[in-house]
Amino acid sequence: MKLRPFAVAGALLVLGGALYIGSSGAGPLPPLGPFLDPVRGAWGAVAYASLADSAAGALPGLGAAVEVRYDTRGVPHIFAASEDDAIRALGYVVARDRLFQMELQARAGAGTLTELVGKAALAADSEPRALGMPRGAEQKLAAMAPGSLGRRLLDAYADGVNAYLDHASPAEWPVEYKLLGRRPTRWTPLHSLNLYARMGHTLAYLDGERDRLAARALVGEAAARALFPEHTPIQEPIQPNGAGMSRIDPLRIPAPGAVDSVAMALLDHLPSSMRLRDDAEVSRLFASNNWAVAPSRSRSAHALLAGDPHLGLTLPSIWYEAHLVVPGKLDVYGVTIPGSPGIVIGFTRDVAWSLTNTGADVLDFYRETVDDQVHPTKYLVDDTWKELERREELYRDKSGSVLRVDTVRFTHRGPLQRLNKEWVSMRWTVNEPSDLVSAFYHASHATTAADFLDVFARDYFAPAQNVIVADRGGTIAIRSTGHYPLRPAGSDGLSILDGSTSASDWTGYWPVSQYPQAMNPPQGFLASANQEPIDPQQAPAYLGYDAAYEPWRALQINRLLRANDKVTLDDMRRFQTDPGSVRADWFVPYMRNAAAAVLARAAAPQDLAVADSILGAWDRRYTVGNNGAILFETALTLVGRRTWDELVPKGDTVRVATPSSAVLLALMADSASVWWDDGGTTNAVEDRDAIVAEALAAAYDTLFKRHGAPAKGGWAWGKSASAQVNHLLGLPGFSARDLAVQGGAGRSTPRCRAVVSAPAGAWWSNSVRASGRWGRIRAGRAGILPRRATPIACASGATATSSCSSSPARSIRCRPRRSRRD
Amino acid sequence: MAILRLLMLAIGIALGTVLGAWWVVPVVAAAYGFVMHRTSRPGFTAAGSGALAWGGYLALASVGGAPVGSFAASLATSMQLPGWAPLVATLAFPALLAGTSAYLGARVGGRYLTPA
Repeated sequence: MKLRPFAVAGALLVLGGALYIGSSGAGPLPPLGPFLDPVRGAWGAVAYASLADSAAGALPGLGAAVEVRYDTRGVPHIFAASEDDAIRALGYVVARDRLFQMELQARAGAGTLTELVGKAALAADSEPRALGMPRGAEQKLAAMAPGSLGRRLLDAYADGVNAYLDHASPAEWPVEYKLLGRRPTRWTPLHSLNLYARMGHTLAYLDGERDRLAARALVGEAAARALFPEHTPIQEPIQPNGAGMSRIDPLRIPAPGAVDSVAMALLDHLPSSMRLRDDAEVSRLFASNNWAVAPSRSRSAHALLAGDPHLGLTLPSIWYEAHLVVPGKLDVYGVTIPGSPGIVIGFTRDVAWSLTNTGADVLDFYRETVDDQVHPTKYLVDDTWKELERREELYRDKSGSVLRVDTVRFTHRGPLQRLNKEWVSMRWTVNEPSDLVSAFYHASHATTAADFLDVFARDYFAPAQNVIVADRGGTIAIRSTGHYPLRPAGSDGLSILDGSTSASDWTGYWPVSQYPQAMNPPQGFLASANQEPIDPQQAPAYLGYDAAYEPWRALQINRLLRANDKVTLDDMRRFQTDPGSVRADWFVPYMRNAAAAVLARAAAPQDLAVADSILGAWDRRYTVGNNGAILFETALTLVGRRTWDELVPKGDTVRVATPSSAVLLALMADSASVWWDDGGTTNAVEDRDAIVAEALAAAYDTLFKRHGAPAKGGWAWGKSASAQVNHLLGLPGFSARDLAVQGGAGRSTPRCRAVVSAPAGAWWSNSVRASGRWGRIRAGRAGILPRRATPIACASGATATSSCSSSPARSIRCRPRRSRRD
Repeated sequence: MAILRLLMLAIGIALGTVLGAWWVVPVVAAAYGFVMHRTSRPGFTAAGSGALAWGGYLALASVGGAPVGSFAASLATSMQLPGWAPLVATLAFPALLAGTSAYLGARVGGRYLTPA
């Protein structure tokens, strides 16, 4: 029998299969032909892993040549003749380094991730659309007049990004595009605004109403108000209150009340993503620090400023370091967010500034009366029916085919969502018209701290930020800046309001004079670390609620600053990585006292004494090698779990909401509160000491089972609570995992750190990995790059944002692209 | 001669990939098979050339300092594959394309070019 026909058929089959997989892919595999192509495919990343020593390119729209010089840390220093050109060049270089990140983040804000990664992103895309974010971005763009400053800078930035896209071959596209089988999208100004919306969602989508509602459903209104109070019991406000020390306000938590059936009915329909995890501390991931020291308290007699913004750890970093110089007009160094035309945090020759998130409540819900419960077209306000705005939201896949169509309705307040049988609308400052681009532009042109704060307050809308600034004259100042709603009298901002009356609407925004702020305080320093901005005894109106704040880092920072009246730059850097913890200082004594009390009783839990001895030996510092930190954190988590068992619905295992650790500390003062009683035990009524000691012993047992005996080393903080720096797509091969770091439990390790001394001679210190190793470069004189930038000692592998090498500085020269008529 | 044919074809495939794209591989290989249908086992020669072309390109890049090895490891980990998988796939894919194309080209050449 001749085999040749079979061989030919086999060869055809194999070739056909290979061509099919090569061009179309199979399952999760991208089309293998373009992917494995050694010239243009994923391997292109290795060919372009090293930057050329020099390059030149033509950018459309440039008015004159621009030079970009890279120092040995890979930071671009952009020298341009005009600010528009500087922004164009910024767009170009950021695109060259962070193209995929820019597109991913913009799409996350626009709700168009499915067009990049497929239908797996449908759930992620539906949230921003339901919240009105893409519509808000479109409205912001429409509100910018053509030729206005903000629009001009957005256009210039887009020009730069697209110029890079035009220059780059497919081989130079980021590997993520190859893995997804996609190509980069051209950048538009709307993409930048979608990015801002995304940041707004990250930092200002705080829905205390749901916490209160969820708690009310299970324990009644009075208890819910106490568990989720407006003001934090621990006062160490951003605006100094003159006390010179922190204050603990008494907090009485009423016994759990009856179940609220109305709230319970709504509870069943709360999205599962709102069911918080056990650890209250971890829920506050996006937390940052900044502080400033006046000349009177600095050894150099100059103002000092430090900032370390904390956001999720990712590769690449959320931040991109850059320096923009336009002789005579602009000289600003700092960090930008890829996709944003301007420096967000940084310093000039005159001022230095940094930001932390305020956590203000800038979002309200309204229960609307609609004409049809299934397909509403109108809503009622003041006995008048108003038309709902309808917007069709199309979700497309990678090929452009429509996956799904949603209809999102809008009242005059904002997007409308169906919650069980109720229709609830939302008003949110993140969706209001604003011009962040101009805000950062004017900020980088300010010459004094006062000027800086004023221009920023004029332009900046949301998300509200605690802006700290120091100037060359020695002034230090801080202002919690953003637009804060003026709510109707009697509204605490944490209830769902009656939408059928315009009396529920916001009546305006706070005047700037009432923002939490301070300038040159007598104490000689200022600090913000996401604590409550203003003492309740001084607050003019409702600003936010306890669960959105965190006092602990502010307490530690202020403790360090109060103890040092001759602060140096080195002190400031050391403070940024200080592993001390006021939280541990205040909670550990309760744990140890509880252990002592229970050990004195009969039938103490096994291993309680051992656990107590470990806590006793711990210096309450979160250093890499100690065993006490993980025991403390685990015990505190278990204390919370046992204490707030009333907030777990029957038959469920997850709490509906978690009160803050500040509330837990307040409860600690009441050893006999009914909240300590474990509802699962019917033959005993537990008190504080019983619950705390039980949690401590259980923590020891848990850790022993997980890590073995403490002496084996598995309990070391650096091992048990290591940092995970994940790639944006979660690709394990491009992530940095299990990094031993010192610092607290939040794991919101800084993405960058800066310490600046004003005036000129400023130093920028940037940690390139979480272990806190340092490097410095000296900021050069305007227009002159140092001949040799000080090389940075940095650890390898942790981040991809700054590449360190001993190679000479590299450069790109950009020239205007001539038109065909030239 | 066989070695020479393999090398020349590899260069042709590599140039075709650089100037065109991945799909040039089966085109070049099929043409080779069509013309060289009288040679011994043109399919195997083409398969070897395909692997050599793409593998050689990566080898040259590696010699030039490109982090081929570490990137392959990262890529493999990200795709939940063994560490050798990306490199093996990069050799096997063009080998498969070239080998089958050359074989089929040789069958066509043998049918139409062989004197009656």
